[in-house]
Amino acid sequence: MEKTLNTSLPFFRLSLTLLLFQVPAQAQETVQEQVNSSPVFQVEFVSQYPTVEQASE
Amino acid sequence: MADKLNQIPFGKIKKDLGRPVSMIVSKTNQYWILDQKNKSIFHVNTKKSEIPHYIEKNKFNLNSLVSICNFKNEQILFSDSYLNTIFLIDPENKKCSVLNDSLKLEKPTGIIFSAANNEIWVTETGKHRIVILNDKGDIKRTIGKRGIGKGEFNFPTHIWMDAKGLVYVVDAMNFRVQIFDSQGIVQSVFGTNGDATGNFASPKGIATDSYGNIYVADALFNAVQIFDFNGNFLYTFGSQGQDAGQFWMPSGIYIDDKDFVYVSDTYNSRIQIFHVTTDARK
Repeated sequence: MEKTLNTSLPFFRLSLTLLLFQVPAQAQETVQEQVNSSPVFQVEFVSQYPTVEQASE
Repeated sequence: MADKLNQIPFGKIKKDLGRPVSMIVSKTNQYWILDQKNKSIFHVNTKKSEIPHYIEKNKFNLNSLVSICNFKNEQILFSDSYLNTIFLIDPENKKCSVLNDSLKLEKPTGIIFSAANNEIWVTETGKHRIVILNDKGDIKRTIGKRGIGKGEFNFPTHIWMDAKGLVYVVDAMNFRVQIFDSQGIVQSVFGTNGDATGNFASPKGIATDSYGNIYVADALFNAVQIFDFNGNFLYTFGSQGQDAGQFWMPSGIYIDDKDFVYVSDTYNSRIQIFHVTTDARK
């Protein structure tokens, strides 16, 4: 049991290293692609009903 | 009319706006606002703001107003989920009446009229389905049943139809939006429950702009979230508060043909109007 653990440990470390360094890089790329392709929004407040003056009358 | 609101003699009427839950801009550029607190409907144009006498004096006890939509010949339809009734407003003849006395619905909420097909689409929340009526209020067909699959519903509420005839339904307790074509075939489904950006907590009103972007008001987020057709989150605006651009449990949302966005800011007792610009191409 002990031997098995020892021999599999380097592979586990390698997998973890790949996971830590590769996945975030891929995710970052995906997010960047999405940002580049998403429309840019600008929200302008126009008015309200009743207006502040009307509501305080 | 959005830039002329300060000219309206709002303070001259007997009642102030209480709990606006839904509004529309009519074909003649006038506002009709459902007010749950006053159990009535405000009619606003550049000259006056009032609850029309034929609505104020009606015999109905409008306990649970939910949605309002434009109908044919400048008439208006609205729903009351407590009375289980669809009402018809005829401004020209100054009448407010039940659309169809024989129509039996269980908690009708969202309502929209398709001029192209002469159909009224109603979300029948109590039966977890969409009911499609002819212009007399007779049932033509229904869509869906209770469930979590595509085309099924769990308390559907608000509804919207875009210029192409696509129908957008807020499937409230499935925390998602379902999009149908005019035949009732599902075209897209998106959304999940959660408190992250792009999730739904208490989805309410829904509308689309001329670019096809989908706006969903969320009462618990005190915000409006914008998605594309496939449900990709694009943008959000709003936070809790009373200042301009802030909300307190918003519900209905309406977008006119000039892409002005009208949000029923229910517990702030007001309608807020925004203009959203985007570089998206049509």
